Amino acid sequence: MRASGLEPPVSEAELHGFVDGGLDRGRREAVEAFLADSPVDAARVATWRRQNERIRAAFASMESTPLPWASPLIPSASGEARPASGQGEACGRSYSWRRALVRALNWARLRERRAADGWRGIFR
Amino acid sequence: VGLRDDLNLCAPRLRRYARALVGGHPGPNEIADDLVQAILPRALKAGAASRLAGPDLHLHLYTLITEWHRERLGVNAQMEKENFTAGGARVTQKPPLFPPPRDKFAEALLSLALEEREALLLVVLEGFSYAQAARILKISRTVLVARLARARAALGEIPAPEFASRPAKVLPSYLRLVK
Repeated sequence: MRASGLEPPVSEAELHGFVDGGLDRGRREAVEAFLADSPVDAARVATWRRQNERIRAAFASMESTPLPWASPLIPSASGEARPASGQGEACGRSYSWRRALVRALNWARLRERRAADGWRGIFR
Repeated sequence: VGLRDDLNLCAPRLRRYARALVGGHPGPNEIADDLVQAILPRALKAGAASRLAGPDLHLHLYTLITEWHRERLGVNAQMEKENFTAGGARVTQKPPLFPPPRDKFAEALLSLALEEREALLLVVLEGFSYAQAARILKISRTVLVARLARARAALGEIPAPEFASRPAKVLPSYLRLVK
């Protein structure tokens, strides 16, 4: 491992972080510079990249495979049938503000009910 | 309302993770699908009790699947041991709880130590950050990266999946209905 200038040397963990997209821009550039000088590590990183691609490709079909049991599994309390979407977008890190609002309202309602129960308990 | 919808939206990804974990391939897998189906009602109860929501719930679901799968493997090993040490002949040859891998790709994935497979699948297949994957597995980031590194070293050049090129068929459902 070499240090270029004042940058800390590239660690093994950072090589993995580089492949998995977990580095900030500064460190990414540091790793790129390091790999340009180190063909052995560059080859390892290339192998990991291919591994990642193959694993994702193998299961890519599942994104578009509908769940035969999506809606009957846990019926929505609102009673409406949900489309059996294979996108799963909403399941990841993207949460819409509407869902967040509904959740906050539910939470507030629950707190209110708890508080009311508490008062009833006192006056009983 | 929110919790049920969250769970339904998470289901496809959970099934993908479960199938990769159990069988190493995306094809129908009764055990993996049962696993997901067993988890969801449990998560509904647990989530309702602890008011888990959003990203927290999402990570919790993956923890449940991972732990359930480990439990199942543990139970399997225990059963084999008991059968073997019970004295006399092994009574029945039960079908293996986990079917043999389908092809070279699945074989490569399944040849990894379980801990390594879990780490690799969470990061690569499910796209979790190191921090999130470490939380799911209840380990430190350092341990996570060490497992990832071991998995990658053990995998080497994995063959291209044979089943990836096949068009996705409409899969039969092995799942029962759960209230």
